[in-house]
Amino acid sequence: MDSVQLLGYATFIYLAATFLYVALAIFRIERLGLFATALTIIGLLATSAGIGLRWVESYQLGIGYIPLTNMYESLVFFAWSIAVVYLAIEYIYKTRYLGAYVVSFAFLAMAYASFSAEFSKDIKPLLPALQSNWLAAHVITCFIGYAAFTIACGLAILYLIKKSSAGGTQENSPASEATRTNLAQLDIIIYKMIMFGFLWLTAGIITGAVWANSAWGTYWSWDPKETWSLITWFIYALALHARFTRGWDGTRMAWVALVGFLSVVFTYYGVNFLLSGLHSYGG
Amino acid sequence: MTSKENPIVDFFSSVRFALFIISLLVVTSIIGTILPQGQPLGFYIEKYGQANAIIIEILGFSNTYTSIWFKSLLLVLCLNLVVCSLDRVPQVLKFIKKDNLSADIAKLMRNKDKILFTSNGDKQTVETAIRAVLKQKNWKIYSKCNADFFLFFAEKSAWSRLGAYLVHLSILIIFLGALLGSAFGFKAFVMLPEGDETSEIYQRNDQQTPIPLPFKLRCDAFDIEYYENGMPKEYRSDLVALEGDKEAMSKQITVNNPFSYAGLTFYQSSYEPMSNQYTVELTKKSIAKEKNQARSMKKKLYAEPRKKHTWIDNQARFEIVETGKDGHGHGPYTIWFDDEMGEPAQLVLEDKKPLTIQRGEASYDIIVKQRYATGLQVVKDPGVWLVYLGFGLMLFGLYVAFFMSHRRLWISIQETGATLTLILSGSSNKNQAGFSKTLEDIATNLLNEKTLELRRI
Ligand code: HEM
Repeated sequence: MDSVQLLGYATFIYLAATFLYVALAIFRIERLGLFATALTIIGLLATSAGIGLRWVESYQLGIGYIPLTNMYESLVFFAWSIAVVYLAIEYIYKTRYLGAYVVSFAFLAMAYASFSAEFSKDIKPLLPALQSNWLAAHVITCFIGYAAFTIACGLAILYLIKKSSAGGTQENSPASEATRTNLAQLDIIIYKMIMFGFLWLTAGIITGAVWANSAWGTYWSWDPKETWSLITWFIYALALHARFTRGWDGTRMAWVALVGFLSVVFTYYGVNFLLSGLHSYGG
Repeated sequence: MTSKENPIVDFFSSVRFALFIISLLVVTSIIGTILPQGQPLGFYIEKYGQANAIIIEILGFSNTYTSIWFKSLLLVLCLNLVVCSLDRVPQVLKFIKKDNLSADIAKLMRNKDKILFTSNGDKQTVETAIRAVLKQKNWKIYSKCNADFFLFFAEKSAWSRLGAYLVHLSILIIFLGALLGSAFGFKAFVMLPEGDETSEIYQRNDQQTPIPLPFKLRCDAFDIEYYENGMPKEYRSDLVALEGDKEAMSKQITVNNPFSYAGLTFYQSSYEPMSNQYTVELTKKSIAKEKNQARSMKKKLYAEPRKKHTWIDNQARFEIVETGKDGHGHGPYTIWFDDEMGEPAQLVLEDKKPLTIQRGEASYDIIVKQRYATGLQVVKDPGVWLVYLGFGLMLFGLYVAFFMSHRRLWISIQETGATLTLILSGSSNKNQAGFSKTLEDIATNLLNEKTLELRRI
């Protein structure tokens, strides 16, 4: 079995886990949650094995690099990061009801990686500019950040759904006490994910700048991808300040998390296909 | 805010204004990524029509990120940061240095997290034991004896309240570094043929303006390595810095691995095959008669086709008679070779592949290949270390701002009749849930101290 096949199977494991989390949310049978978590862990292990195998394969081909160098590999790592961070949340907050809104993103990333015909899954040798340890550091930090923002977005969707089903956006609606504590906790997790993501995105931008400086002697050149990562960074900086100093939370913060996520998607994906620049490794 | 009297300063230092400026930066940056940058007016006219093109030009959106107003926005953001911080840091410092021992019992009871105990122990022993527990957990301890109660105050990471300001400071440092780089640095370029040296480089934007180098730079070799599928694997140049005629420093550079000397850094950036120029490497191997030792001598020369070149030391003469038919001047090459030993020889050899010819006692290895010029970006950036320092500080500051908290706790000991009443309470500026646990931990520790004879109420 090669890494592409293995990662293809991992996709289905995440799909199954997503179904179980959805079933858990609908039928509220705790045991389903246990299976869902188990499947997510298995999916994560399969993804890890896939990444490891790909690494070995690249050495067997005489190329030898950490598999984080193209669209396919970065999507897989993205899914991996989502699963890891999600499992941490599940462990820390002792709740499985968020899974449907998060693991589904891991599945989507894997499915897009595995089944899209837009980019190649071959292990190709690296162009000279990409042969740098900073590339791995850059991709890892960026995608952990993106994963956190993705989770924030998934939870923001859940927040908005819960809020509207609990009686519109009125703060003093007759929502049950339990719903309100749930919402408050969700709000906190969203905020924490944004902070966590912001730290990693910052590290991602910095490692990118250091890399560019070691390759070209310019740490910042306003290339569209760089600029979009900065735009995303600004948007989350806005979110942090609005919350910290102007008390934005709840519904407003959920919307900010959604907008931020759109900016992440554009930075990651849109720029490669809609704008031109240095980071044309999409193809 | 301290400046109630001055509404302009107030507005300028407000976070609301910061949000506004950052939003403007977001919107203009987006426009800058959508509109192609740095094109001539004609390009915009063709693409967007006359009227739109003129608007784009006037507003400076053809060079968004270098336009005056974009730089001004960044500057205003920095000023905003400075004013805002000058406004707030003193208050934060005051809070950090605050006398927390002036708290009274009522204040302790107002904290959300509080745990009450009674004890039958002796007051002195209880004090000592509490001090020991706190000390063991690395709390910074203060204490005070009031008229009717004894008070401990303990805290951790008070300075972490400055985390956000470390981040803000780091932004200023990065801007300062960038400014320093653009004021005192430059970006230049030089195309340096293999075997040549130069003491001049050229302004990157206009290749005519020379910049003198304080030393001489020589390129000993340039080479491209390919993968099996034909993709380039590595571009590399052997560079030497010369002070006078002495080799001061040398390095083989590749794309991610530049050469720094005397404040300048040389980056592998491009290359160019030189027309009608070939690099020839001759290696003569001979056996020295008396000692029976192998000796080898090397010579590298740059040859033009149909011209005789001489390796004087060995009286060897060499000519490229004909170059390849592939149109790029690569091999196979037909060469002519002669030395003291015997008849001249005419041979055919492949590009970059060594060929050995026997000449009496000696043999020659011959390699012929295209001569290249290596394209080097030359950067002087005296601000980059500041930028990197800012990067480091930013990451550290973010960690502090997000994940560290200033935790404060008080323990009061009151004599009520024959028993002691203890109040343990405290607060944290972040992660209140985590702090509740910390307080519970301390309570457990205290209860485990047998000498305290504590009971929780
Ligand atoms: C893009 C630039 C900026 C970045 C990346 C940034 C970053 C941060 C961060 C990470 C925090 C901590 C937030 C938290 O703990 O949740 C913070 C807090 C804050 N920022 Fe900024 N900031 C920026 C610009 C500004 C500007 C221009 C102002 C000027 C008004 C400002 C005012 C504040 C204030 C007042 C706080 C609260 C500080 C406190 O803890 O007392 N920020 N900032």
